[in-house]
Amino acid sequence: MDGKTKIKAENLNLYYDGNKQALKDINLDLKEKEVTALIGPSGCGKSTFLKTINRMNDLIPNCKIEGKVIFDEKDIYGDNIDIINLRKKIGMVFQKPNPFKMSIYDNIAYGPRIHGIKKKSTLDEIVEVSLRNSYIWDEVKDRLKTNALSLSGGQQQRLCIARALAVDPEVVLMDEPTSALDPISTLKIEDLISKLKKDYTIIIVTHNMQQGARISDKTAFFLNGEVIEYDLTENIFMNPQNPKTEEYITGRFG
Amino acid sequence: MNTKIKDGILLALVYLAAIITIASLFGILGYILWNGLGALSFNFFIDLAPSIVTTMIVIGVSILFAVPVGIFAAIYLNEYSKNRKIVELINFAIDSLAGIPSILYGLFGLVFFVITLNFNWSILSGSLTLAIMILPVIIRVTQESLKMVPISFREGSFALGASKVMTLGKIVIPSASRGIITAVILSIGRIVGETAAVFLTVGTVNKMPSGVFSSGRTLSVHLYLLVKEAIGPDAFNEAFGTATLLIIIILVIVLFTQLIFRGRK
Amino acid sequence: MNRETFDLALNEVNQDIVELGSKTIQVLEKTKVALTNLDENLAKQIYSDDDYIDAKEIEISDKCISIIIKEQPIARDLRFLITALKISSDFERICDHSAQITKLTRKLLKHNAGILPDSIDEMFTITLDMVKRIVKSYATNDVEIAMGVYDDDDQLDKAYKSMVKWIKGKIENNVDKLDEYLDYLFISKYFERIGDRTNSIAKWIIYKEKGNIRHYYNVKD
Repeated sequence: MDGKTKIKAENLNLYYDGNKQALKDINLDLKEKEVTALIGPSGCGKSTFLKTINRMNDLIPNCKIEGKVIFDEKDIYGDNIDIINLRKKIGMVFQKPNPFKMSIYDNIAYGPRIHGIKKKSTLDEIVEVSLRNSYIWDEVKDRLKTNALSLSGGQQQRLCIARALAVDPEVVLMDEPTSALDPISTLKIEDLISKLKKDYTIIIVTHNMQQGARISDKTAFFLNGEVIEYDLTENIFMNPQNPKTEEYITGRFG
Repeated sequence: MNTKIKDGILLALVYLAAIITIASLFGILGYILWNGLGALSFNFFIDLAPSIVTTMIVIGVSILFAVPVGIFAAIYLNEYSKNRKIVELINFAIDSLAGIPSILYGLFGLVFFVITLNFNWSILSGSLTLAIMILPVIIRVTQESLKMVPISFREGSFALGASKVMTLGKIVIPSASRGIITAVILSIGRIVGETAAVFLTVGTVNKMPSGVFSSGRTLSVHLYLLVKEAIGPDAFNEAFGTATLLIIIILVIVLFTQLIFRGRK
Repeated sequence: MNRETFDLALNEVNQDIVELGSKTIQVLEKTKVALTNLDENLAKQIYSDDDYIDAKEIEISDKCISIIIKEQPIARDLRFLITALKISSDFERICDHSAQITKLTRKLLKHNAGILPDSIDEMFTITLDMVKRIVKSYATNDVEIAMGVYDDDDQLDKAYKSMVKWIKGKIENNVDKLDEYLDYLFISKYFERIGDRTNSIAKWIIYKEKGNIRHYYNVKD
């Protein structure tokens, strides 16, 4: 597969509570400026894998990692890794929209501020650009000072995407970003993802098979902590090679 | 018995309970105001000024000691401590403190602050005693409101590269502020209403305090003395006046704190 | 198996296609008999069979579209439905061509005292065999048979070419019978088209089983 490698998992194993293995020998080569969809049944390890990429799994007690996750030619589990900088470069959008309990403006400015940007004019610019890139600027430009929680669910999620973009990441991880949204908001987010693809590497966990087919370039199918199949999305959805993949995507699983 | 009748009886009981609660509250409030409003006058304020000032200072100093300690303790328990045994021990200590009658705090304050540390009967002795007394409430309520802050807020902050201290300071504590304010208001209520512990530590001297080392008489203690020992000829009327004043002070403080914090949002 | 309703619906379409296939074989066989015997009743049957098959093709399309809307099929299921849509229309066209051949040959035979050139008989045999084999290939999901159908297509092309040559020679000598020989030309063209349609069915069967339309072209090269 062509394209420059952005993130590479090498023989990645992850254990919870010492013995429960959640990821088994994952080897994945994720390309720059592509959308990769991670699909699979609940508990298959796809979200766990996503969290290993920006080390959000550090927050989980008793979680042990073996193997490597290479981001821009550096093992993020190696020595001398600045997690704050790693998370600045690898943003994340969550399943449930989680804007902070503060104004729309402050939500977006939060990231840049913690990374040391204080100048008002710079912050103003970042806020506007991030909101524009998330296609929510027109909806909120007249009420940047209102509380972000007053937005609709779909708007909140686009705000969260804008918030992630505000720290100028290279990769955006999305953990089922539309599962809590209505169909129209879902389509808006999907549209947005397709547009973001030209500037960002996007890795998205989704339960919605059609969504995976619509928005991703490549798809990885996870089952019981393993990657069963990883290929061009078209191949996965038209002609999967592994019978387990076929069973799952055609809804004849288990 | 059919379900409809059961439902009916239950509903009636619920309404009855609600009515009793509301009626007692308004009954007491109404009775006090009815009897007390008449006693309020300019001279009455002048007479009570030392008590009002003492009460205010006691509130302020107690809160000043108790709130930071309480909030930090709650943050430690909720966000940092990893050793479950220690957390359980501390929680047990907090619950025990909360269950101790206030007179025992008073005795402790008397022995420790007034005598051992030689602070004498003073606003400082009383405030420190009261601070210890309200600590459990502040810790407990703050802990609960920290727990109420969704994990998703923290995740969102960490995912942007924020450190734990930043996340706590800018996201978690502001989000928990409503709960923390509630803890403060509850504490103020307890301080204003406290008699026994204050009696033993602040003293009963009815004069304008000149600092935190002055002894003094809070409104509640004054009220207690008026009713219990009938000092002065018109003690009973004065007692109702004092009670009215107490209620007004509490209401003002509650409204004021709420206004301040709401304005910040 | 989690999707019983879905699987039942797919199965129904599958049976419809097999039925369409065997009906097409029947029509071709009847066409042959009708012509040798000049059987008026059989000819009428062929026309009504053609109507039935037209209706069946629409019915199958409706079923496929409705399944696509309701179930959003992917992978093997989607390939199956696309194949069903494509080949039901191919079978329908084969029957159309049969009916047209019947019409033309009957006209010819009436004028000609019932003698057809051997090449037409040869084309008949080849096409019938091709259609029979493709129906079997579909019913048994046998890709090998489908691939074999290409070889037959070469034979059919040969027969078509020699037929054209024969017609050319006849026209040069009997210009007054031009209409008659043009009819011969049309008939051979219809056979050639039936062969193309059968090839198309083979292509979609390979697609359905192998998952990639390019397999067909690889086979051809």
